[in-house]
Amino acid sequence: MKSSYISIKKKLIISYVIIIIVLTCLSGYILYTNSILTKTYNSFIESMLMLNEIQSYLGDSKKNLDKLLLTRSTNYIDLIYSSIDEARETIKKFQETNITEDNYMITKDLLNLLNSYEKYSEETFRIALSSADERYIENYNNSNKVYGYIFKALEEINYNLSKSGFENYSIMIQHNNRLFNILIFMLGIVLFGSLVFAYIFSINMVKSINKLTEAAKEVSKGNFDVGIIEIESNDELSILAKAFNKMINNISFLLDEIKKKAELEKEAQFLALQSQINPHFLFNTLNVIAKMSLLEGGEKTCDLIESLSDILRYNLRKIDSSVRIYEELKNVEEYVNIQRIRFLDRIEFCKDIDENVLKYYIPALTIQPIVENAFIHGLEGKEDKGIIELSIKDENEYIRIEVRDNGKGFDFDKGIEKPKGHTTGIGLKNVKERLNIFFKGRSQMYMKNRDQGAIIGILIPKVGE
Amino acid sequence: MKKYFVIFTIFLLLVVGFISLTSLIKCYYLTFKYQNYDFLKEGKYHFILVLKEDDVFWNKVVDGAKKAAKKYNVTLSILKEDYFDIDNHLDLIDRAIESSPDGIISYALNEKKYENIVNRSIDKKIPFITLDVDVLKSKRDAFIGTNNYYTGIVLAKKLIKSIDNKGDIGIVMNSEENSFMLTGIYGEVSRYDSVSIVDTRYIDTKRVNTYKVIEDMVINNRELKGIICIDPYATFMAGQVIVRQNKVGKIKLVGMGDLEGTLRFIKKGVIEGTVVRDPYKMGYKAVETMYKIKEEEFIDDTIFIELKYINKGSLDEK
Repeated sequence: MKSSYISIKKKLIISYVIIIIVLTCLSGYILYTNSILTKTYNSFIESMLMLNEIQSYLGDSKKNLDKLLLTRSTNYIDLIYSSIDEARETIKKFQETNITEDNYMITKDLLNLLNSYEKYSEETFRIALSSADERYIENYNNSNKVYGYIFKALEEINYNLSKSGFENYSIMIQHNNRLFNILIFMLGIVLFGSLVFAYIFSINMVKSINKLTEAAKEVSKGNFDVGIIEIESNDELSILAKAFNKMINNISFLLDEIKKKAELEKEAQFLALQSQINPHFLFNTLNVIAKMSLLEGGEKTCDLIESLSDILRYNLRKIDSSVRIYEELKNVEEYVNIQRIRFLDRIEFCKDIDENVLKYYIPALTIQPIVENAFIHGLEGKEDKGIIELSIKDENEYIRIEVRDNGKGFDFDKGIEKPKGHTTGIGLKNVKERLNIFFKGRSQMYMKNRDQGAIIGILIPKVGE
Repeated sequence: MKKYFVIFTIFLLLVVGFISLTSLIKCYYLTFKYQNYDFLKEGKYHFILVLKEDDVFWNKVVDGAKKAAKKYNVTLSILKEDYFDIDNHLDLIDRAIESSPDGIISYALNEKKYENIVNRSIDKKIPFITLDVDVLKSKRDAFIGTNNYYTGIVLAKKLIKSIDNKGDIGIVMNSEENSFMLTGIYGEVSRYDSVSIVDTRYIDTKRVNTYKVIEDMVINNRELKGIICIDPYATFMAGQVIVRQNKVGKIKLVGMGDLEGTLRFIKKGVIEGTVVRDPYKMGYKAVETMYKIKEEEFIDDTIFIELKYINKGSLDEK
């Protein structure tokens, strides 16, 4: 599963936000239903209170009417009116609450009943105040009757209210309970999910970090052979792992390179030590011999000795220095001169050289060992004429250098030949490694057999100043 | 892994959202369903409907009345007692009068007390419509109900036919006041010499003794050939009595109402047939007529709601 890069921070934030959203939804919902429930309950209680109020107002009016009849005092008239008015106002307020149709109709009648109650009461105390006897009794009875009806109507409202209220309330409670269970379940799932997420997340992270730590410990001990650390995540840790891998690779490559260089230098130094002769003494002596032979008329001998001297001088340079191709080519010519004198016309040396590439650099003693190899393996033990061809070609970014002979070809089973037979003691293997180091692995060396003889070639990039 | 987690979370959110929403709607509906303020609009008139009692029949009357009230834009309050009791019922009507509505529709009996109270209402300029039973001597504006005299005749005819015009019959009444029906039954029976009414029983208004009353009648009258019940519940009970006393086929039963049990008995042949009234139409007509009275349109002062006779044949057709 390949996915794009998501940082740890982002992962954490996303998961937190999701959990928070879910929890907020849940709790908000619970709060809301609770508030609805409370509201319903409150309105129910409020209605009940209103009914009670109406009853008590009416009771007051009745009491006051009775007192008025007893004392025949006008003081109570205001009280009677005010309590009836209060009752009326409360009924009107009650009509504005959350009311059922039945109850509304009853309150409508109730208001009318209240009016007739007021009328009868009014008549009662009017007659009572205007006369001393009990002629008010008919109206008083009527007012009592209506008073009874009002209370009956209030009871009916109360009954309806409690019935519907409790029904609603119980349905909602039931519903709420069921919902509560679902919510608990949901909460459990969310909790479980987040725990699982946290567990997987941290386990992955800890695993990756452990891998890195182990590898780092090994590396600090000096063991670079820790392999590639693979971390299958798409966050910062994978980047760390990649960087670590690259670093280890680079370090081990550099170490290898340093080691090889050191080895080669050691080899050269050893060779130098082997020839304990002072080079200046040797060159001077060789020069003296050359001049002497010239004086004695041995021109060829003089040339030979000069060639040898040049080769020696060239060979005794530092082995890891670089030269231009034409310098190397000159050295090759000197070598071939000597060999020509040695083999006379048994050999033929052909050159096919692209002049453009001569200015580029190569490590010293690169072409010469290859040519020497051709002489040793291509011509030795061969009766008829040996042909050695050297070609240097420009191939865009690269330079191709090939040496062909018409000898018996390579015997690959024996492996690459030992450097013993070489003048400089430098074999093909050494050449290959030096090329690799010099060109940082961008060079190629190949050997193959043809119908007649073998080809050894190198392909190197162009390196200027 | 990540993908599944995201899918799971989205799924969870959806479920939570869905459940929350549906529940909210449900709660909202429960809480605020009464805040449909349609009925708070003042109607053109306000009528009061006084029922006889709180049962299936009268609740259907209420349904019809409410339907008509909606159509004619009038409001309606309903007064009712659980069981019929003359004094309580008169109190209800009195209360309705004291509430001074635009009109009163009430069940009544053909009695002096009802006559007085109806006249009082008319004196107070409150139109009065009697339901089910007419108060003949009162000044009521209209009567809406079944023709009880005719109902009695129908019941008697059906029974006499089923007992082959001869034998003793018994009558089960629900109140002593329902005299028209009894008159109808007696009138029809008197036309046959060989048929005689040997027993007339009354059941309690709360109907607790119905079974006992009918059982007594069956046991005390060995020669009984048929029973007429003029109460829906009593009809069903009479069916049970006949089954328990093992008199199926020996005693024919004609009654009223379309209770579920009654219909089952008709199918099984225990009950010969019943007369069914249409309470819905009665309620509807009552409000309609009252509206017309207020609008001073012409009305019939006696409106009969047609009857339906149900027997095995008509049930099978359905």
